[in-house]
This record gives sequence, structure tokens and C-alpha cells, in this order.
Amino acid sequence: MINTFARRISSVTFLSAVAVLAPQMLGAAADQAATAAPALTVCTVDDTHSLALFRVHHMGAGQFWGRFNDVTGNFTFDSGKAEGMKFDITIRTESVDTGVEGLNKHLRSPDFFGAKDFPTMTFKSTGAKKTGEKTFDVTGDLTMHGVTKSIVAAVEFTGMANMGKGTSAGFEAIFTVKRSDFGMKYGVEKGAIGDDVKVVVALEGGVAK
Amino acid sequence: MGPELVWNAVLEWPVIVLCTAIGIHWLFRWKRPSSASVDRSVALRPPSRGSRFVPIVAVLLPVAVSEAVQEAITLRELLAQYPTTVSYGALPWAMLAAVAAAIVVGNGSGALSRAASAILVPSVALVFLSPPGLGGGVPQLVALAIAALAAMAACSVSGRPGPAPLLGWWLVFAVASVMVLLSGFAKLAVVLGALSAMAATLAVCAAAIGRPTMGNGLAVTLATALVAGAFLGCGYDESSFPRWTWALLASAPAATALAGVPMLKRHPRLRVTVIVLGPAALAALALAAAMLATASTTSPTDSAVDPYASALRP
Repeated sequence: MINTFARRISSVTFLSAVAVLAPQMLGAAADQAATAAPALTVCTVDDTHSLALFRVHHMGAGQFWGRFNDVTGNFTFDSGKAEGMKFDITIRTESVDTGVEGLNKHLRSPDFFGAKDFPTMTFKSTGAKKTGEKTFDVTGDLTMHGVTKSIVAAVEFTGMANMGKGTSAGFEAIFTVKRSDFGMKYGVEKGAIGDDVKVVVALEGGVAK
Repeated sequence: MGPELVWNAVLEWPVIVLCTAIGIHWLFRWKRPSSASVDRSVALRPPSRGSRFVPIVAVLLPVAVSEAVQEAITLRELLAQYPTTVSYGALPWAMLAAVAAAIVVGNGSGALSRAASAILVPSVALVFLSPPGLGGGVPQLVALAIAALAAMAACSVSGRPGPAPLLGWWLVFAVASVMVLLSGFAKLAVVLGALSAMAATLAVCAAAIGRPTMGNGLAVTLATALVAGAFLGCGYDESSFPRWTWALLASAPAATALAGVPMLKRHPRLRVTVIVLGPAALAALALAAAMLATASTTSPTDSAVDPYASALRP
């Protein structure tokens, strides 16, 4: 009987100890997890302060620049780290702008971007690698003209600042694609318009609250 | 791109042999005089209805070559890439179907035969075409109605010997090419320009030989090609030309029906002028109307919008 009583006492003591210690243990584990998880910053692209520039060789002479004005999407990053870095960017092809309406019309036509068949171009990152203090190689799928190809973009973190009404962060990506790989062959064979297109994407995004 | 691409990859030997054979067949299809008393200079060259295979040279060849050269691919690759992600990419297949249908239907001269080919040939071509914003069946039916009208009118003069009807097609396709170019679609403009150039070439051949006629099969196929070009031009139009101007362009061959007016039968020269310039005038009217309509609807930029405003923090 004494033994049974003693066993009950010890069980109660153990349970009490668990009840007292468990929250502290769980709290400590949660704190540890919070320390290990990256402090990801999620940003929504501000299309007023973001754009995509492209450069192509014209008639074997000058380098011709154009831009896309409508860039949307979001990006996620952990300051200074490649882990967790993600880009999901959409560019509206109809927003192509060279400053000359006639050229814009031609670039929107099926000769080039085919804005009516393919209203958007997208880039979805699949991985990132740190290459410098603020630079990364971001791998992702670029979908353009109905074709998806994996590309690597050299991305630079350009800064983060408080704008008064909220915080914004910026990135700049540079990469080169062969437009013929995406089925955009107009003028390539005749050498009128170059095949290699250099793309610069400047992003500024508001940090989500 | 060098000439070797055109020669080895685009044209390819079987195509060259086939087109040469068709050309010779069309140009030298003479009937032998039945009597020695007949004036041989005329009797050796009676009006020929033209080979039913001429649409291969007149329509399929320029469309396929201009497409293949612009895409820098071979004919085989061009046809193998169907179905394409772009509805415009179906144009070579649409023209192949139209030409095949025209060959099957042939050059029958009866009214029923004409009507059948004027409906059948555009129908099989339009099945392949569904430009952006013009899908769903109704636009295709409208295009078919226009094509049938244009084809019937074109058939009414297709039995006329000499180059006049082909000269009319030369000018119509040239105007169509300009209109498509102004709408922003250079690749399609090149295709229509190639059709124009081929019509001019055949017109020169017809003038040199003197007696061959187009034949209904060719007239219907050319009308189908024009309607297909206008249909795609309308769908991909980046200049916002009014749709009725595209319809007017597609129906331009209908102007040749004026050549059948009894009053003109006593004025052969005026009749030829109508056949050559009537469709071109209607097409030019469509082009002018499109440009005027676009110019009148251009609005100034709204200056009230703050160009530096942030989209996220208004």
C-alpha cells in the first residue's frame, strides 16, 4: 500500500514537473527555431519605380534600347543571404516602349513579342547563389513568346530605405538571352536585328506589412 | 541568309521541279487546230482555262517561301511546326488546305461549280484561322461570307484571256500589304507582298503567251488568300484600324463585278480598266479610310496624371 501511495506521489510529482517545465522548454525551442529561420522580407513590386530595359544590336551598327513600363510581381529576400531569395516577376508585353509609336506597334506585333497572343512575360526564380557581398546568381524560368527556358541572372541588391510611408527595397538584374531560343526570329537571319538581347530589370518593391 | 538557304533549304528540289512542271503545263497548254484552213496563229492558241494546279505556284509557293525565309526554316519544318502557339502560324496550313480544295474542285465553268468552289475553298482555309479577338465562329462566318462574295466576283472575270485579272490581283495584294504593314505586322505584309509579286509575274507570263486565262480555281484561291490576310491583319492590328476597313479590303475583288454591267460591254477598254483598277481602288479606299479613322481618334496624353506618383503609395 505504501508502495502504491509512493508511486502515485512520484507520478504526480513528475506530471507537475512536466506541467511546469514544458512551456519553458517549448518556448526555448520556439526561440531557437526563430533564430534559425531566415528573417524573410516580402516585397510587392512598385511598377512606377520598376522597369525592364532591353538592348539589341541594330543592323550591325548601333545598340538599340527599349523598355517595358509595366513590371509587377513580388520578391522575397533575407538580407545578405541567398537562402529564401525568390522572384516572381511579370512584365506586360503591351507596355513595350521605345519612344517611337511606330516601333512600339511593330514590337507588339507577332514579328516580335506578339502581345495579343502572349500578353505577359514571366520570370520565376528556382534558386539563388551568393556571389559577393550584395550580388547573387539567381536561376529561374523565363517564359517569353510561349517558350519557357531556364536562365541565370546576375542580381544585385541595390538597397533598402524608409520612404516615410513605408520601407522599400531594390534589386537590379542583368542577363542576356538569345531571342531565337524563344521563337522570336524576325530579322535574325538577315542580321538586321541581333539575336542576343541584353536585359536589365530594375526592381523597387514596398515591404509588405 | 545566303542564296544557299533559299536553294537548298527553302525551295528544295521537289518543289522546284513541281512548280516548273505546273508553269510549263499552264503556259503551253495549246490545242491543235482541227483544220489546216484555220488561221494557225490564232488557232494554235485558243483560250485555255488554265491548269487546276496553278494555285500551287500562284498562292502556296509565295506564302510558303516568304514564311520559310523569314523564319529561316525549311518547308518541312514550317509545316511540321503546326499546331503553333500563335494563330498566325497556321497561315501556311490554311493556304495548303485552300489550294488542295481548289485542285479537287477544279476549274468548272458552270454557275453551280463556281458557287461551290467559292464557298468550299475559303471554308477549309478559315477553319485553320482564329486570330486574337476574332474567334468563336461568328467572325469566321463573316469572313466566309466576304470571301464567297469576293470569289464569286473574281470568277466572273477569270475566264477572260490575257493579263487583266492578274494585274488586278497584283494591285490588290500590294495595297493589302501596305495596309498590313501600317498596322504593324511586317511579316504578314511580306507574305502579301510575295503574293502580289507572284500575281504580277503570272500576269507578265499571260501577256507573253496571250491566251491563257486564270481559271476559277486560281481566282477563288487568290480571294481566299486575300481574305485570310485581311482576317489575320484585323486580328493582330496594332493601329486600331476600324474592323469595317479590313472587311472592305477583303471584299475589294467584288469590284470586278462591275465589269459585267451591260453598259460596259460596248466599251472593252473601260471594262479592262474596271477589271484592273476596280478592286485596287476599293482596297485603296479601305486603306485611306483606315488611316483617316485612326488619325481622327488619336487623343492627347492625359496631363493630369502625376508621372512621379507611386503605384503602391498614392
